[in-house]
Amino acid sequence: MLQFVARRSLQGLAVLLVVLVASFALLKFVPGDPARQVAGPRATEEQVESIREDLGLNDNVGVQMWRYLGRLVQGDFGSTTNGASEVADLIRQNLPVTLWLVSTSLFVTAIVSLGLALLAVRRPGRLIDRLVVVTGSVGLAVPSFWLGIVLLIVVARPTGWFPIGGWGESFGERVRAIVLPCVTLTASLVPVTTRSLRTSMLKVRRSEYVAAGRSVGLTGISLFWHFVLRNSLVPTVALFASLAGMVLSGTVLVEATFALPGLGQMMVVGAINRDVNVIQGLTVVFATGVILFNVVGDIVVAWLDPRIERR
Amino acid sequence: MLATGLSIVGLVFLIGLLAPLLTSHDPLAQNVRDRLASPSGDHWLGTDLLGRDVFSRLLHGARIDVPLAVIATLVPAVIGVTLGIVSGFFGRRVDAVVMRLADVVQAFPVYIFLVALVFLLGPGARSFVVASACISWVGYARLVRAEVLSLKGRDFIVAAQAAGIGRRRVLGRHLLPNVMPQVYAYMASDAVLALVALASLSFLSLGVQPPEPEWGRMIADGVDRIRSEWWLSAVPGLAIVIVGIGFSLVAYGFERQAARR
Amino acid sequence: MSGVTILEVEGLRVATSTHPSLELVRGFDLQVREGETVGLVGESGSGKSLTLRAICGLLPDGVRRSSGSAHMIGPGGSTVDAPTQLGRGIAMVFQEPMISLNPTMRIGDLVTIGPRSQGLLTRARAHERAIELMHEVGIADPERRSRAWPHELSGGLRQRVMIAMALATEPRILLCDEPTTALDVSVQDQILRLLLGLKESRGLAMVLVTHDLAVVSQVCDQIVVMKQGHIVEQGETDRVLHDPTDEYTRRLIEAVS
Repeated sequence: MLQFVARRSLQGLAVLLVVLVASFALLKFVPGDPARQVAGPRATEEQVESIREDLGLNDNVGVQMWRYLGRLVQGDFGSTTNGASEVADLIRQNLPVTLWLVSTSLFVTAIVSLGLALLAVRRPGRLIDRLVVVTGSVGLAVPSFWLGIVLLIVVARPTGWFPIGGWGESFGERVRAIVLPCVTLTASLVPVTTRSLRTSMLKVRRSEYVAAGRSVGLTGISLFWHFVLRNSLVPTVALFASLAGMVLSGTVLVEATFALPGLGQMMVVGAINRDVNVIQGLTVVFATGVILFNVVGDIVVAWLDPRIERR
Repeated sequence: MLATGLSIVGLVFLIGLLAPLLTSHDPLAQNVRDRLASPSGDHWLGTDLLGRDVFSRLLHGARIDVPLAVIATLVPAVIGVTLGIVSGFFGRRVDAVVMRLADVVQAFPVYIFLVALVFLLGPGARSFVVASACISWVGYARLVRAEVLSLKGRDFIVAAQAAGIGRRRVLGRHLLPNVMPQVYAYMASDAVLALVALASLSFLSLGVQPPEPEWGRMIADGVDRIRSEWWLSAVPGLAIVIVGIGFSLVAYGFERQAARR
Repeated sequence: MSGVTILEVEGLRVATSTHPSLELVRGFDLQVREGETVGLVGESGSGKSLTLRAICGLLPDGVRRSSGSAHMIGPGGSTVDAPTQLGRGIAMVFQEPMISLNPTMRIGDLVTIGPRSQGLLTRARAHERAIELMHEVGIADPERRSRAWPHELSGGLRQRVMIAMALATEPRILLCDEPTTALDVSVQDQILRLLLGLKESRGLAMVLVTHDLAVVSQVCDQIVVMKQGHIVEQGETDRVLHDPTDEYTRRLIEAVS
């Protein structure tokens, strides 16, 4: 098992390396001369050239990349275009909000979609099942930011229980502030997850080994626990690991809609302000998150499913 | 189902096409003195922050959103299907390269990648299409590659090749027709995602730029007024949902066709 | 083998759930006596598997028993609906050993899961019992094997586990749905001999679904021939095979000899 963990982790690191190189390449394609931007419009050619030397832009690409990777590993993401803050600090400040949003959404999504899938699978083809399938298709068509706005109009405005956007100061305020964003993000995930869970649970339910279980007298909870649940667990975990991309993706819009000071919003602001270091740094952070999710997911799945090679 | 979906999308497309005939107001004409008017006989959905007729902007929005969503689906589809065929058919090294490329693309959350690419290319419709092309091809490639791989070993393919029938003909006659229904189904659901992505980017000011009447942009414009003129944001969203449902139905129809094979 | 009937099936009909007029089994009658082996033969699509599953209530989604009954008859003459006796007197052996064993349970646990879940076996006693049963079905080195996962075993071994699992419930009758069809030819014989042996040692009654007449002639006391959901011939094996009354039966026999 340990060998598997080691191997999988190394694979993850390899992908991460490629991601880092790709994000460095991103920097190289940005139009404009960074040295000139830093120097300002009234600088002389010599000043620009000396700044270019300082920034190390005259060295060959390989050396630059090495330097870039070195800095990243040490946690230096550079500073914002206006030089006011370190990107790494901003990331550290905004990370908690995004973590809150992501974890609550994943948790609620898990509960809701598992529940819905179970309900749908008990009587395949009947009303609940049909409803679940239809909601799945319709759900994709609803833009998450629009849903967020509708929730603000329909829930936040009339009741006043939730703030119209913003993060708040106290714990209580923040709890209330996260509810609607969590609901919005969950709503964008549930159609996808429920559909997948339903399909894999149906597959288990209709399998021959479940019939074999019933043929020796297993019913109800016993059958469910030993036969259905244990075999549904693996595809469920695999599904949630693959959700990483979707949920992190969703933070961009949800944070923008509800004005939450998280990493997603930081990304959008960075794009509008043409802030290279911010975009680069965040791309790396987000990609790392996805890779981490996938690696952990694969390890958990290998641990749960005896059929997977562990050596 | 297929028919219903196609008719919905077709209808909206038609509305967009005929928009200049269906409304007399210019979607770009500002009239600040008449801003934020409530719905009336003259302005069926009122006016927005700059006094522009909302109904007209809604209809003209169809000329932007629907075609762009379709283009942003077609381009990655063509790229992805081609790469999938190449990868599955010509095997080993080509396959390895394409699949590793796919892994790297998929390591980034979609919207993060989208924002980053648009940042690189500058905001606008063209950047959106290019960015979509760079990201969405992966799904098609994996789908087609899997199908090609599973068919490659089948007896009739081997027999055909042994009989000297060229590779291109084998591809064209046998492989492609088998996988196309799945591809069409995937395209239709991808279209929904493309539409939402376009609206989302425009909402974030990174997509179609003002003063063009793009639906996502219109939603963003109306955000400050949700306490009073809430329909400014609500209605364009509804338009997106309706078109999205149309595409979803099309996807569902193709899926059933694919299953029948 | 006494003459006591333990399973009685009357007028069993199976149809699709969505179109009740589309019948897959059209009226099936059978009486099985204690210790008797019944062979259920027919081509693919004749409805023999569905009949077996309908008797014990394991029909798949989309198909249901539309009329008729299947009863187990107890020692005092009491009748009980057969599907309720699953794991309590009636057990089934499935066709595909690859997919019939729970992939997330070890063999040792899987074999005794039936009686354990019914509270008939304590955890302490369960392991011992598993080893006994594995011996009985001819699995070598049962101690080591009991820790194995299903995917680590060969087809023949898996089928033996399947049989052991069924035996753990102390059945009076075993329903076998083509138990050897998915196995290698060399292994088929072994499994059949195992089943025959169990009939002797335990006095087990059996309904054996197969398309192999040779097997039926060796193993079965009674034979039922099915075609397109109907029974076309039924009776003592020797009589039917030597002197068939039905044309279809005749053709089946000729095809083999």
